Amino acid sequence: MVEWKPLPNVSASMRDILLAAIVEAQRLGSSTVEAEHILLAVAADSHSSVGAFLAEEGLDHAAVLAALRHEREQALQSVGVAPRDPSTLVATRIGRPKWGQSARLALRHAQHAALGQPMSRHHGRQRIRHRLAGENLLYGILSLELGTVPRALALAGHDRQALLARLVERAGMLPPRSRGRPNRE
Amino acid sequence: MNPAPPPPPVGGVADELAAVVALRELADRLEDAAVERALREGWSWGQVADALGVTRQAVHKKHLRRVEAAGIRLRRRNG
Repeated sequence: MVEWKPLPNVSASMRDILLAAIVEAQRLGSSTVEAEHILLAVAADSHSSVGAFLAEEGLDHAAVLAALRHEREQALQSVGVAPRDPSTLVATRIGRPKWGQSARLALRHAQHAALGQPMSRHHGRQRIRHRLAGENLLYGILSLELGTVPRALALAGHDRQALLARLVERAGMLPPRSRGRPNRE
Repeated sequence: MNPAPPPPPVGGVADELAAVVALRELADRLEDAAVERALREGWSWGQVADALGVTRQAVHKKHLRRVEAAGIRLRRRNG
């Protein structure tokens, strides 16, 4: 059972994905939950519409994991450090990883996207937000311009902005330009 | 006026900044694994601290709970 330390303004449906992101971070031995762990959690749910979208784009869970590993290897090699065998880095961990800055920023972008969603005549805004929790989180992750996720996507040959545009179109979200940008702190 | 476009996430100084992230992560994970392994092999807290170039209190504070959870039998009061 993963302990949940709530982030502000997180819906129940987003919370389920973020709990899975904590597990992804723990599995990779990370002391923080970052945007890449949320991306892994979104990609892992291949039955969801957003998981299917990522798979169609060649970004299922295994592909995302491979892209993230490649990014770290490239970063280390750029300063002449050979990657280590992960089995030599195994250590006992206690407690749960803390929220990292990239996850917080992705979440802020995601919440901004959720606020821009139009009301449904039949179901209201809450239902739309619930249905699009994964899409909103992916929108938030793909909105990050620097750091591990955009590097991993670029190194794996993915056009982040084109992915973002296809996501917006597929999910029927408002185009990014009409929403402006959330503040960075 | 439009804001300046963001710098590319790959290449140039972006690679150096990413290397800092990767090295920090590697150093943290290597420290956790190596401290645990040293204590399993019978090193004392003091010896681990000397090897890391930090105080015994610092290494104790950072790793004791984790090491206790790992069930490692620790050497007593000799370092």
